[in-house]
Amino acid sequence: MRTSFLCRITRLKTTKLWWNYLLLFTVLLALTFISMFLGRYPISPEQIAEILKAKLLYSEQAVFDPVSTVFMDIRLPRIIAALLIGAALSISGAVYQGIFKNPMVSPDILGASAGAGFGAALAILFSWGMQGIHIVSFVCGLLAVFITYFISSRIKIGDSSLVLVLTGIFVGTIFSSLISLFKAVADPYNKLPAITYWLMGSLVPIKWSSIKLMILPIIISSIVLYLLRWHLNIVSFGDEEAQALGVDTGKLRIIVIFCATLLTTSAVAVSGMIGWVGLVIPHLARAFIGPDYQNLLPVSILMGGSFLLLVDTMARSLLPMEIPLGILTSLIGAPFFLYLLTRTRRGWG
Amino acid sequence: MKLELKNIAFAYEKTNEVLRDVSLEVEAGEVLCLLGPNGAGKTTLFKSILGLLKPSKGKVLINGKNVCDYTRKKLAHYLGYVPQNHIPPFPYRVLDVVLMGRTAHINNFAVPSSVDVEIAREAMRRLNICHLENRNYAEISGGERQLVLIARALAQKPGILILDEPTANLDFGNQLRILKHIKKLAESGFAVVMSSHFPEHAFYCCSKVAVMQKGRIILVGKPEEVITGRNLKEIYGVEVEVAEIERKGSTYRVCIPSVV
Repeated sequence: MRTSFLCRITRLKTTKLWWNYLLLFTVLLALTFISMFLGRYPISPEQIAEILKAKLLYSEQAVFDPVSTVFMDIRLPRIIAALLIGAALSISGAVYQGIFKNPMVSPDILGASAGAGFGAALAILFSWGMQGIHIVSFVCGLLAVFITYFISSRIKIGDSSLVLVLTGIFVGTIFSSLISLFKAVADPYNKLPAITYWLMGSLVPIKWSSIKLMILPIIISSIVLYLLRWHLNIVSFGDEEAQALGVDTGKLRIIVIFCATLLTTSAVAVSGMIGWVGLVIPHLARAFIGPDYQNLLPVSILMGGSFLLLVDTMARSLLPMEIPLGILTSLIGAPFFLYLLTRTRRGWG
Repeated sequence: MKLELKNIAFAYEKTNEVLRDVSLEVEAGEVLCLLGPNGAGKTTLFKSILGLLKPSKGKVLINGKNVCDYTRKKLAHYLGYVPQNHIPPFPYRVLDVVLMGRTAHINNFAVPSSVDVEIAREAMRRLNICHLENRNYAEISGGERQLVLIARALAQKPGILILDEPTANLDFGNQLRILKHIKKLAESGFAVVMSSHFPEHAFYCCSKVAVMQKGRIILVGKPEEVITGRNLKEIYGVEVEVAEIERKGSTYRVCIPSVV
């Protein structure tokens, strides 16, 4: 009698869960739809329908319509990039917070952003072009985290995850200093503004080629992390407990850090520094669906994608000029995070 | 199920051995209570048993096989660990925490199934904490959290339970309730190793007491043999009288400290 009653409660919960997903998915679709029309060049729904029809039906013929170019080559890749980057930063934030058992950790904690910024500044300084910036920045972001991991594995004192975080801060500082050095020596009329703008974060220069660069690492890492969703729950209780429960934490940590770093670096290499998404969205997702990674990861993807798309749409349509995306995410993210803190009960719920 | 420790030594730094020549044996149905002052090496010993630290000498055997030869996952089928309760950084549901005990039994890329949920509920039923199922683990009381951690270890279906100071930070009633559960678990066939700072607790539920001091086991035996006024004076450096009291035909032992 009692068991059947409990079963019914669980079933109700599952239904509620699906409603929650449906809600988030609807929001995401609605935002995607609306953001197609908004921007420097407003495009009407009829125009979009025509462009899509032309693309689908007469794909052989090149369409030299400026509206079509704006939509197909600028707006659409930008929307997809916003969804991908928002999702990537949110998952990696959620995952980093779990393995470091700390809800205050953000995805650039191990130096990924600083490394990526260094790479971008280097590529701008030597005029290696957009593609060059993306690739060098991606490589340097990974390199920074690799250095952090390598050095921290040689430090034998204290709690290993604390050592890792501290090492990450030092490595991040070194790369940030190098960025400043590059800025100091850069040509102030041409290179310096380019570096500065890159660091502010923006989706303006996004092309299909940028998406090609990041889509594979993002999808593969997300799948791997989703497969490890249950073990991610266990490691947030601490290494020793996780080991006693049967988890090989050493191997797990390497895989998880690698995937999360790949996510952060792929995103940051393309977009520049976009702060706060990886910190705020996991919190919001946890408050919405609970801390179980089974649901936390998909919800982080949906919420992160929606959030960045919303902010990017605002960045290009609020003022006559483009507002750098990184500034806007911080301006919205930081106060929102403070609001969440004032509402948080025990245990970051 | 049998747990054996054979001449274990461990040192964090080469010159300073934290454990020296520790040998113990626990069998199914027994409760071994580990007593000893702070810093005697109890936690280090537990970590060696759990395979978290590799002893520099000697070996830990489960059913005759060295724990270092088990994979983490396989070892979790034999050893259940109940840590001291602490609040995790995220607000998991009680049922989810208990389900974590099933990790060693499920595929690395899978999540617990409805069978696992039933096993977790069964473990909670055993400790009378079914009503906590949907509560936030971070918000229940310390005594309830301790029971949840024991339920998690039971859901793991091990033969040996290791409990690190299961009564620490609990109120009087909860301490006794936990000890009663431990006694029942041993009667149902578990081999139990626990540590405690209360010698009296050993009288309540333990069949064997081992006293550690400076990394060595200095005394092993039945509670009434080991816990005597003289021994307590030697271990803790305080005057205590162990008295026998007759009640309803049984003999009980209590510690009477000379506080003043």
